[in-house]
Amino acid sequence: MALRQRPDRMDVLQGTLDMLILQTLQWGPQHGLRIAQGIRQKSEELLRIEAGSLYPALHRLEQQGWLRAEWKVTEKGQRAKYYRLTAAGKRQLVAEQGKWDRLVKAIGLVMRPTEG
Amino acid sequence: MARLFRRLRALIRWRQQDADLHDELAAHLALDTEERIAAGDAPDDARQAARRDLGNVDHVIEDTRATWGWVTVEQLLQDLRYAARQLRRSPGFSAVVVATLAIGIGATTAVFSVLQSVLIAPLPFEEPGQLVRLYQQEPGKPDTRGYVTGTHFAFLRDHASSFEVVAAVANYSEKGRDFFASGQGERLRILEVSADYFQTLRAALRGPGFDRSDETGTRRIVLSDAFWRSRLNANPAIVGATVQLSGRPHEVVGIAPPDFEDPIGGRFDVWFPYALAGDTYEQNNSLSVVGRLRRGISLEQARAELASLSEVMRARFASARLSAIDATSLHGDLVAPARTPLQMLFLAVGLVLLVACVNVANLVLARASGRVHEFATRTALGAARTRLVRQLLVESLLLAGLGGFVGLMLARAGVEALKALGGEGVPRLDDVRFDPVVLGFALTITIATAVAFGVAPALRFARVPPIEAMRQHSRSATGTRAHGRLRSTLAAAQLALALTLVVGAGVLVTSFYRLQRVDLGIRVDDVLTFEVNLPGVRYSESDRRVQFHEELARRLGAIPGAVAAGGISFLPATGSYHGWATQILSGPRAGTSVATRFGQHIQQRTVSGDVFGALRIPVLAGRTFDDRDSASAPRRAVVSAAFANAGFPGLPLDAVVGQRVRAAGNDLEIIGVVGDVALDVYGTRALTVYHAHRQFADNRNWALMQSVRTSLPPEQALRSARSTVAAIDPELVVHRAAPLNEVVGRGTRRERFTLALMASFAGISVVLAAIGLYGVLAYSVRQRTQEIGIRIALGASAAQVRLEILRHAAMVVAAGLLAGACGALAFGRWLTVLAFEIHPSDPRILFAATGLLAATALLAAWLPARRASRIAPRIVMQDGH
Repeated sequence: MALRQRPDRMDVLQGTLDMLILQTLQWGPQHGLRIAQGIRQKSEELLRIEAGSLYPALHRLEQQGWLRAEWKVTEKGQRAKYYRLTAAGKRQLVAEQGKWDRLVKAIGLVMRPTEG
Repeated sequence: MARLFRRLRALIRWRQQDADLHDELAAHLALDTEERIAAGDAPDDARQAARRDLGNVDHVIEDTRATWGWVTVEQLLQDLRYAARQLRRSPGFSAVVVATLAIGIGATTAVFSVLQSVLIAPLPFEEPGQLVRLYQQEPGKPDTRGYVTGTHFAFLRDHASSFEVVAAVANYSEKGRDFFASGQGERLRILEVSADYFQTLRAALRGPGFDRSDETGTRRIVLSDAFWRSRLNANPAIVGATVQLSGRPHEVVGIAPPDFEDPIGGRFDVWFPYALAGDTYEQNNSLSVVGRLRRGISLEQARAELASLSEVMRARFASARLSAIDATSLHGDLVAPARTPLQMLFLAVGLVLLVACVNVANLVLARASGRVHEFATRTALGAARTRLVRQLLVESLLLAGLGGFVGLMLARAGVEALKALGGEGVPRLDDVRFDPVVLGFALTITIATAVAFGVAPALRFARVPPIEAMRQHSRSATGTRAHGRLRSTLAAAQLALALTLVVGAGVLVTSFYRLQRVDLGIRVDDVLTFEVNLPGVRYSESDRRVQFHEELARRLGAIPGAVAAGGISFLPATGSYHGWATQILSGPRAGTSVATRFGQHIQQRTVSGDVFGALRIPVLAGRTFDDRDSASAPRRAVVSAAFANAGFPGLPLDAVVGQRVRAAGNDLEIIGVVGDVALDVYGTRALTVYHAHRQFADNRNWALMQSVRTSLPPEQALRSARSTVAAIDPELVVHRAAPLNEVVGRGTRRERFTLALMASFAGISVVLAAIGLYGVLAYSVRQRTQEIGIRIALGASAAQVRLEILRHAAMVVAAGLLAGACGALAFGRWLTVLAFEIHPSDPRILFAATGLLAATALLAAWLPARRASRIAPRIVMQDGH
């Protein structure tokens, strides 16, 4: 529950949620619910994305041109809005990953200097 | 820009997008519920859990919407609505600003559109820069631009190597042929041209066109595209076939390209080859010559060659002894008559635009200063400065947008009005098109003005701490006092500009008025004029033509309501025509030639019927022509008084009767002296010799202008004239019918055009200046309401208060008028060309204009002054917080 309580804390690391969404969509188009579930499962239930953060992020990414949305029918025959990574989105993901790796490394160096 | 577009699109789609978001969240809920049920949850529990997980839907929606960008658009709409409300709240202010902007933008755009099409746009021919006009100049008189004779043209064509090709156009532009189709006669406008005419203008004909062998005067023709399409059904087989014109077959050798027009004469229906081979009379200066410069040859090089050729010509031709051939760019030649008035008008309209901008600046500035309190309050209530500035910007843009829109309408209407007004007086006016570049230019200037003067002061106020601004409301502070000075200066500048324009208009009005009163030697009212041409086939004998014209004049004169009728080869006051050398054979100057003061030949006119009676040219001595002057009688002439005085100095007019002159190869006995008529509308006195058509009909098939003096209204007179002509010969065509005052008025068309525009510009600028002054004073009175009220309460009389406001006005007016007088004197230099019998710096005009503006200014100042003097002290005290 701890993480659920402060989804807006994600804003502190602005772009982290965006990166997670882009990463999740790497494997193919997905609708909002499945994206949230995907992140939760991948993070072994540590990260739970609130709808109140997820949808603004999805729409923002669409505005940026990194995602494209499309209404489709699920495997169970229900209508859902699927988001797909665009070419620009893929480039953005690569860039974000690089940035993230450097950040993690830098923070790691600071937090655990002996292991570095 | 792309971002703005995306936002606008988002705004348009926002409802759709909103519905889409609702759907998306509903789908999320449904999917989640479904999956929970599939995982074994009870449906109700599943639904509840899903809803809980989703959280507050309204918040989700709101946060998501925030990413779309249309929130700011909505704010913009809000600003717009607010701005519209603000403008509606002060409708007077809004209307004046919008009208001012519209006038400035509209007038500038319209006039510049004309300027662009008439003066700047190249001629519609291939490589128009190579086209030049050749003319004959009297030596040492570079201003004279005479026509060229046939022999000189032929010589130039053979010898001038600067030109790729040279063409001549016979200058008697009003020739015509009759074309009959389905019983309806129609007069065609024709132009006689030398063989290389179409090559010179690089007009690609359909068909072979003319060749030099046609210059003997063959009946081969080139048709205009319009005539070919409308009368011959665009039949391509017509090239090589014949068409009946005036009863004779003519072979069609070409069809001109669509929209092809003669650069000098404009639209024609048919082109004929000019019979250059027969044009050997060396005094006959009748050709307009257009040449195309060889590639790489400059106009100056061509002129140098023409100058040396002129030397050769002087030796070879007796008639060239006193003249030289020179060239000028065809474009420059065509637009020359319009250049000065149009440039002056553009200058004038530029001043109007300036006045309009100053006015807008003043008004917007006044409003902005008046709203210090409003902004202070809003700042105090927490409005961000950016938001306030944006608000003002939106307001200014809304005003400018409205002004621009109305201005656009005005400009469109203005262009049409200018075309109608200018008519034939301004060359190339038909080509005028509305110019969007100019509109953009004017729009930008005015919008920039509105924004600069609307937003800049607001920026300053927004920096003032609210509490200061609140205080400013009740006391006039230094900031607003500085504004007051700026606004007074602006008002003075407006007055100065207005005075300049009024002086300009004054000069033109005076000129025009004097022009109207010029004695033309004829009475132009109540005369109908028209032309009838006799087809050469049926009227090949000159006797028949004489018979026709005398019969026509007799019958026209007998129409009920008609006083007299007659024909004349060229109407007075419409220009020079048939200037022929004339020798004096008797009297003190026997053996000499007469010429005008400017060395021009004597005007010759051929007349039929009682044209002197019809035009009211008084007979001063002897008689005019009648049946006694038949073809078999000795040749006779009637001369004008000026000719009589020039040819027979010292002789009384009665003694001139019986004297002898020689013109056009005939010895003539003078039988009468008539009053002088003007050559043009400026009243230039013409020396004229009149020939009797009865005796001169064998010279050519004269196209006489018929004149009927009649009290009937023009339409009725024309109907009678048509039936009279038809009664004599039903196949003849009456054409170019018009009241004489209109025919003669055409000469003043250019003046009328310039005058009407200048007068409107002056009027507009005076009104704008008055509004500006009124605005400044009214605002100053409003600001000082409390101060004035206190002074009235302390015993100041109404007259004292009034006087003080008027003194403020007087200072502004005096400064403005002084500056304006200087401006008017500078502006006057443009006017000298257009002024007629008045000098632009004439003190009377300056005084009158100053008086007019001072009176207007007094009127504008009086209202605020009166309001100030009526401020009731009690109200002020209450108002004083």
